[in-house]
Amino acid sequence: MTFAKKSRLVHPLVSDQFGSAVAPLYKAAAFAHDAKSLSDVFNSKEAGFVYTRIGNPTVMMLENQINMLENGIGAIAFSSGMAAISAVSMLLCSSKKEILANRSIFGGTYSLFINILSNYGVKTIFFDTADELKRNISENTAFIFTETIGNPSIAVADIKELSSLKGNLPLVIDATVTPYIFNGKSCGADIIIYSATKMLSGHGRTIGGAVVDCGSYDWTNLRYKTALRDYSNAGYMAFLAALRRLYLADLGGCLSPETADGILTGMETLALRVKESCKNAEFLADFFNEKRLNVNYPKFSRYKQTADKQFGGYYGSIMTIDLGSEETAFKFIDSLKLSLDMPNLCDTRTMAIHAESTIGSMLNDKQKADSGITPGLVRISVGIEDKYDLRDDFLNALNCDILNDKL
Amino acid sequence: MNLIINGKEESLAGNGLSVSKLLILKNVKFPQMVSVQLNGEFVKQENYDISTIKENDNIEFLYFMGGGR
Repeated sequence: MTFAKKSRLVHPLVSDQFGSAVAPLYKAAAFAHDAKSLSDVFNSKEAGFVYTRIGNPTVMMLENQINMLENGIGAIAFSSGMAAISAVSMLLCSSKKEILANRSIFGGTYSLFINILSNYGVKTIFFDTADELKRNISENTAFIFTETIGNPSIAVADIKELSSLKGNLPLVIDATVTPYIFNGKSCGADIIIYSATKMLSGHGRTIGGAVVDCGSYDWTNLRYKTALRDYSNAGYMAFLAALRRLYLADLGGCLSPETADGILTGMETLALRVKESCKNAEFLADFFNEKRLNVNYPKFSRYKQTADKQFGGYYGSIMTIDLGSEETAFKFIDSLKLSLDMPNLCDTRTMAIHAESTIGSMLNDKQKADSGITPGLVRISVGIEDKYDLRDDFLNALNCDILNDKL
Repeated sequence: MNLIINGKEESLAGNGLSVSKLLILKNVKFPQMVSVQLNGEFVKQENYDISTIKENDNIEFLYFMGGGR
């Protein structure tokens, strides 16, 4: 008998001698074995745990849950979403290789590609349209990268379309803001990356990330033979094997067991939170739209059709409104009583942040334009509070004097 | 049933074991952490239940759990 993901999120696969229903917290840095067994585990001949930087029972229970969510062949947890993207990029790229990335990706990822990977001879080419993507695929392309919903561009990527154009390249997607309402594998994604800090945890008490291999890409493809090194002989598991044993183990971006426990706690309520956040966001976006504010939300944008196709009737929990100037945006944010000014996303709490002076502050003018960042742009991530409280909070902020003058 | 698992001869009770059952017998709680080769051919996870092991089969488990250098 198989159970729905909503049920399996509440009932993780737990191995515990005392019958615990939740993942036991193994805080151990290392695990003892007899000499032969330790040698076998070290050399991949036996199952077991040795050192928490590479694998830990609590972390593995989290990996199992994230993998279950995506119907993948395996997942690996990282210390943050950026650690996850860094490790995947370094595995798939080498000098003279190119990343083909959606133009509106998150500033941290943009900086990784442009400011760090470029130092190692990796070039990033950005695309907006299918034509641009097709035109730029070459023998040097290492992978295609996009976010399901761009932040803060709120651009919705058509994953099925990208998959139809990728040829023999892996399609790597960041699905941080759309877990549960979106299944990347069924749309043709090969690798799915999460910042687990956001919707997976939801409670704002953890920083974490994860990578899922959907099992759809043939890693025996010679393109990655050098990168996969000894693990190229692991067949369809080669990517996960190399990612864990080289790029998790040796770059060191491992997740702590305590944090894995925190993410697992959040994931039990994921199905409820995602839908409630999305419903609240749609309610607020409707309200902003009625007020004739310049709101950017998939329901009202050119991405509606793609969102309708991919997200099961939801439009996500993030949006932006453009209030025209930094001064107005600051006044608006400081007038909010319930919603918080914090740089996080997809938390149970609603958050509003001035994009240009915070999450986009490291970008130049062209990069800001690519991400849709204007001086008056406020990004709003909607939580699970009472929707009428949220509406009244934003209405109150909109009614402050400075806005009456300028809107 | 006599098998060769990771180069070692082993004798297991029962005939017609699936790869899934063999993983349970070998105490592998997280099958996404291992690749399985049956007589030199990789077995995909979705086929673990339907892949049957026969007398004298050669099975290679490659685990990606522990390790380090």
